[in-house]
Amino acid sequence: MRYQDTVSPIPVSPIPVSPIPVSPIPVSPIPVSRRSFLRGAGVVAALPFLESLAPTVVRAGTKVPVRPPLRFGIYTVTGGTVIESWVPESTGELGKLPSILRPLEPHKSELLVLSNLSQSGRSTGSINAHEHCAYLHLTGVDQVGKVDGKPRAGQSVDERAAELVGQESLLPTVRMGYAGGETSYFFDAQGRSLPVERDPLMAFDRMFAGRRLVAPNWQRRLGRSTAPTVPAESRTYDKQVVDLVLEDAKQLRTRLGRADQAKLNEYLDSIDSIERRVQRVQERILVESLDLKDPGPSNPHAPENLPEDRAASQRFVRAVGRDPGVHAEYLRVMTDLMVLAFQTDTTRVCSLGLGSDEALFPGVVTVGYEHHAHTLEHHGNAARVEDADPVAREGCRQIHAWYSQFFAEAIAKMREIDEGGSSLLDNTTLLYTSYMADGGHGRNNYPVLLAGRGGGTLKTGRHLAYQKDTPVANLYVELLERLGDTRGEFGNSRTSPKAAYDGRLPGLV
Amino acid sequence: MADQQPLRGKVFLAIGENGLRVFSHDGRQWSHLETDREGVLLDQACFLKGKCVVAGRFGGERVLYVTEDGLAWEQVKLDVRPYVTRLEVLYTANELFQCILNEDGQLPGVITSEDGKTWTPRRPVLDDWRVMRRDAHLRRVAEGNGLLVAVGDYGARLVRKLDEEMFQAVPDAAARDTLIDIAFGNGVFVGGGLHGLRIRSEDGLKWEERVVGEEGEHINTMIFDGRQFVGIGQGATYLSPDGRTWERIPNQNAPTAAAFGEGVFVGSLWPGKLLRCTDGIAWEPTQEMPHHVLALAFGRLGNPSS
Repeated sequence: MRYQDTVSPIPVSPIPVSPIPVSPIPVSPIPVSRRSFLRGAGVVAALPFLESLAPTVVRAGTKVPVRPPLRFGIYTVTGGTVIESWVPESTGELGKLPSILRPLEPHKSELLVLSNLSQSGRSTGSINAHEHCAYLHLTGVDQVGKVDGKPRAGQSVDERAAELVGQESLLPTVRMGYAGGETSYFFDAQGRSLPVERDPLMAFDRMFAGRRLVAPNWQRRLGRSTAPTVPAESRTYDKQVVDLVLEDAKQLRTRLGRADQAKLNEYLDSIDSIERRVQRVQERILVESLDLKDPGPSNPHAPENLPEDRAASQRFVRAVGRDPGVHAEYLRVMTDLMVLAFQTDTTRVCSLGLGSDEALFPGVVTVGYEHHAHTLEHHGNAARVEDADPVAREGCRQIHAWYSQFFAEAIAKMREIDEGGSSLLDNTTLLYTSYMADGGHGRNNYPVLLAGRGGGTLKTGRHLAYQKDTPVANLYVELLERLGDTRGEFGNSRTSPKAAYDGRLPGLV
Repeated sequence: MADQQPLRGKVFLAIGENGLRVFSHDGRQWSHLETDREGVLLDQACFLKGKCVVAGRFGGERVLYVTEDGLAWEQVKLDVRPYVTRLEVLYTANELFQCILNEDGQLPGVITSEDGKTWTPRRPVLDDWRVMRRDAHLRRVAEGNGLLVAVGDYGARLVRKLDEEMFQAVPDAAARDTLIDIAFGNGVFVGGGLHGLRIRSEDGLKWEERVVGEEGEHINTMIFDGRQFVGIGQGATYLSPDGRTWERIPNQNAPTAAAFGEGVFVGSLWPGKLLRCTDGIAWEPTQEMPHHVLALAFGRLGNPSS
């Protein structure tokens, strides 16, 4: 076992998620708000999370810092990067970042770079190399393929995260991106491919139509002993419709054969899901009405570059792959939507599948004659780096340095959002990665970076190099545990032929 | 446009996305703008005997546009395997328009045409399987010393005599010496590439005097201006009369594509910016096109005797 960093003990017990007090009683908060502190100190940029300045409540007679809940974001970009320009040369404290990560230099104290994580899962059936990489990407399973021509893998990490924390927010999870028709990254518990919202206006409407944008007052929310309940008499029209549908369906079931009953059961499950969602929305309306009267300290607003109407939004999406200017705006608006979703507690799990292998990058790639990402990926890779076309490889490097700029902007925005003593970034774990390890469909040594301190569960500002080909699934185990998972395994964290570290990643905290 | 007259004489041509074609006599004023469907990408152009041929792709199709006056364009669709066959280089040699075509796993072949409209069947131009990688493209061609030299991906370099059909390949070309552009002048071929790479050859087979520049100063265009080689890099222009001794001069607004004619350099920068200068160093913006310019060329339109 090779582990190059000397800091941090190996965590052996599950890490608790943001504690929600059972019967908390607010006590006298420290009279200086974090914002006031920053102003007084003449500091404009947000500071790291300061425990002593966090709001506190009493639980079971002990002062326990109350933090806003942990959010989990995935920011995955297309194709393969140029790993020698991505991974820092040395481990331990981050020094000067390599060229692809250089846009993140101002935020390196918030970053945890992880190297030597690989996928070992096989492919079965007729899937191409891109699909192979994509299906493994967030599932980390032993085998992926197609069933009846449809993608089939294991559950992806975002979906498992949504199972764990999704009930706490309006939407269990939000998936956005795929403007260029990328192949599937996201899979449900049955391993079926999940849809992704590519249209920013649709995504915005889905999350915010009929709602006023308000930042949660976490101090008040977490200070309540119980969630507000919906009075029984306030059944909405939606709820009444659901009840009627369920009643009809139950009567119908007695008259069906077995196969049709199975179909009907699936249907009823989905109706049940709708019913639960209606219930959650109603509870949410109550919570947000309280936030509107007494909001949290930040001021959420709609993305500035949100298209004005559906037609404009669709035109916008269609142009992403052809025009890097539009592509840049798309990355920004989708990132803003993710930040807004977290800021308003619309969801606690948000995934962005950004970029496209088919996109063109004139102006981003300033070398050679080729601007087509897919061509650059293929030419820029070979079994040995020295055999790859260096011009194409430089083009790939430029593309991924360009992506890093937008990720850096996301971090900057999240650092600036005050959640009442800690920043949104403090309370988030953002996974920045790529669906292929390199443009030659590589699955070894993925670019992996965590941003944000995961509510204090990650020690950032470092590069950790694990033993060669440590399963990526080990990382997903760690991330999920921070969201409350007690399974202790995910994907092939224990079954991979390259299983390591007992299915864990030591040293993250 | 109704008020535009047919073009005659020496002109610059800029081509690019969405079928963009636009001409200029002096590199300052651009006219005769034409565009086509969204998704038409034009990236090759050359002139011969008063005709201009432009090549590119639309989805899986390989398309050509031909004009003699900059006003009337005739579109030609090559009969090749959609998406599979690549049109890699369009150039002129032996008084013919020539296109190198290739497919993954194949060796390059050539088709030729006198008018840009009617093309011969494809014939092979290389039989050495060792020298072309599976997905390697040939990218640029230069003529001189009675030779035709082609350069491409992974350091590929081919040479043939003008009176022969088959190319001979440099057997030991290394990927690190991949050339982005090549020019001929003063009896020598000179190529430019990544991080200011420059290298010269007299016969296209033996390459020597390899030098590199500063990091990031990628040379995208190598031009012989009649007196010296001008390597236009990102941040610096490299000048040499012979490819041996070089002068490096920091440049401004360096374009990513450029052409030279009649003492004037024109270039382009994304998105659709056209630039002009007379020394290859101090580039000034002239006009902005509605779509990005992918390539530029210089040549003559119209038959001088008519």
